[in-house]
Amino acid sequence: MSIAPYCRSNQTCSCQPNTFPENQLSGPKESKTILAARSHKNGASFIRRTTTKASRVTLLIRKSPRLKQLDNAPLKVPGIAALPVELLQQITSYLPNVALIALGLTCRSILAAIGTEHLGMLKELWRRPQKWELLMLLARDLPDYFPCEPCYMLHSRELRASTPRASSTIAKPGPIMSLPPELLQMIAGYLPTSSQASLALTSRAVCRTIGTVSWSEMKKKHWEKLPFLIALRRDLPEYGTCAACCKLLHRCSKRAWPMLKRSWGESANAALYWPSNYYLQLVLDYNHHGTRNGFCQSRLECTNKVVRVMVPEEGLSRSPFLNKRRAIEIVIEYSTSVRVVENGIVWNAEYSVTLPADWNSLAAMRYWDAPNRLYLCPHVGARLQEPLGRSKPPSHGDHHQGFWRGWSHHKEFSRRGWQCTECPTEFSEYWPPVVDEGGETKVVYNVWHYSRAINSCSDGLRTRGFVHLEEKDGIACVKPGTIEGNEFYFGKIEEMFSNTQKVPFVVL
Amino acid sequence: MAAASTSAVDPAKKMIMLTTSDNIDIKVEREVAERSILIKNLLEDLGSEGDEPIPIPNVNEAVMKKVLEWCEQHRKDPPATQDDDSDSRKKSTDIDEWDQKFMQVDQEMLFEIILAANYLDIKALLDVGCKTVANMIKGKSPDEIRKTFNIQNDFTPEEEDQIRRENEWAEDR
Repeated sequence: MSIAPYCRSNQTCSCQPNTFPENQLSGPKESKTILAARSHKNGASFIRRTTTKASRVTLLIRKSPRLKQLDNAPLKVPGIAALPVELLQQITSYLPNVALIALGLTCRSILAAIGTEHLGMLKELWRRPQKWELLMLLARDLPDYFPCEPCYMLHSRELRASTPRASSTIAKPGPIMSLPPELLQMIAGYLPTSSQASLALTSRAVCRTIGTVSWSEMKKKHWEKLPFLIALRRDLPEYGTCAACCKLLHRCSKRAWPMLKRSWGESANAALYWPSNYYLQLVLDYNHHGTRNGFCQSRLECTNKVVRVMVPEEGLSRSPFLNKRRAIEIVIEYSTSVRVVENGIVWNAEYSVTLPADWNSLAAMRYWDAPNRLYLCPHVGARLQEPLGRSKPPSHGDHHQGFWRGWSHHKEFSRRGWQCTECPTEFSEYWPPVVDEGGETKVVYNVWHYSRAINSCSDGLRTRGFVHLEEKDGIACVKPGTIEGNEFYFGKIEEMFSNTQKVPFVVL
Repeated sequence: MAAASTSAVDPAKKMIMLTTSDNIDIKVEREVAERSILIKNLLEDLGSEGDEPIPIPNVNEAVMKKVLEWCEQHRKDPPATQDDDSDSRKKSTDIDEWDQKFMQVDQEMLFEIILAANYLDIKALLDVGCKTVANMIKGKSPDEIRKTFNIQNDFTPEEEDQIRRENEWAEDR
């Protein structure tokens, strides 16, 4: 039985014969048929994969100028594409993953020869430096795209058209620009300093005309600076205005990131948000002694989104259904707030974890287990339980050292709380109602942590035996934790937090 | 106002002729026209009876009519005081009700009026115009001002960032 050189069934497979330049297949007859057979088999599966999973890959392939060139003008010299499959595979075995993917993207026949296994890695490359290297390579071919460092993706440059800078293709400047300088100065004369400063920021010409005196004036006039900063913030969505320090602060300040000391060794689990005691000390200094020592607590506040790659635990992956440990990207949105209480600091972090959309019983097992690396405090992980109210009540036993003390506000246990036995931290877990059954699901964790911060070098992580179990009439019950004689019953930290006013941090 | 043009009973009521940039003659009472210091000085220098039309080459008919409408309304106002650079006048951007309604025109007309008031040297009208523009700017962010007045932003993002840092508006990340 002879195999047709190209895809036989055009109905099921979208490889068009004319997209395979004939010259490329001008190798020995034997290898040609093998290659064709492979191209059919893998080509079909490749297309299915790309459309369902990595549509970005398809997009890249379609948009790649190199491929377009191939499609339009077939190569005169067959070169590497004409090598027998075995030789090509031998060559590719020496290549690192990134180079392999790049080679695979050159033309269909090479892709068919080396297989599409590696392409799937585009999505699942969780070794980030490699993915970045690949993105940089791809970006060279695609002038319309740029690699985005925070997202680890290629973004179209066209997206920038929505930002004011790129869209400022104004044909005719407004009539205000035709005013003589003295009139513009006169108008500016009627403005308060804050508006003068805004006006000077609009363009170079205006800035030259009305000058930047207002900018330096604002250093003295704090009452003018705040309205200006509040207005300026509207242009800069990634900033917030702190009324206390009279400055724009990035909503994801570097100081907000954890500065965990490594002194407690390998066993420490980095919580996503955990300001160091040193910073908390500086915040207390600021509140007690003014600006010279320390900074405002708004510097420790942040709002952002992280993508964490989670790998299910070994045990689960050994199940017969899941023969592969697949990394899952889980989006965690977080927002934090720091408040100074009577004799310490309480901070709150809210994590909203979005679980992927294809929600079936098999995937669910994987997803629930996946974020076990998300630690809410260094001692307690946020291992996801089965969603409450869905099938069975939660079992609290398998939380690491955290002690469950379920409290339910709803019939269906949609919210429950517990606290850490090691440090003064409380948690709550909340499953917002699922809108679309089978769609994305969210789970919201709240963490409240209390810190004295003063004169401590242990970073407040260990207040060992913070909560004790004691036996009363044969039933184990909980004795409230104490810090320097103050009793911390369950729920007290959250109460302290909500009773304190937020710093005037304007995020409109 | 057209009725009193026959005799020279009252020099203030005497009609004079203004020729706008688009060669249209507008008849107007002398008192109204003399709200403009430029026209007033011209008339004094010419010393004529006001028979010849006075050319106003920088103002077109539509704007001139609008300006004269304002002058008509404010014909009895006391002349502007000389110490008009005082702080009290500058800081207040209150505009009386009639002027506010008068200034409810499109931006192009608004700036034409300001330019005309500047050329014709009508201090009070210029003030009203500038105050109106100032009120449009007040409380807006730079980008909002750009959108309002169609100003092209030619600062680079790096420059903006530097300005913010140098003036201690934004904290480093």
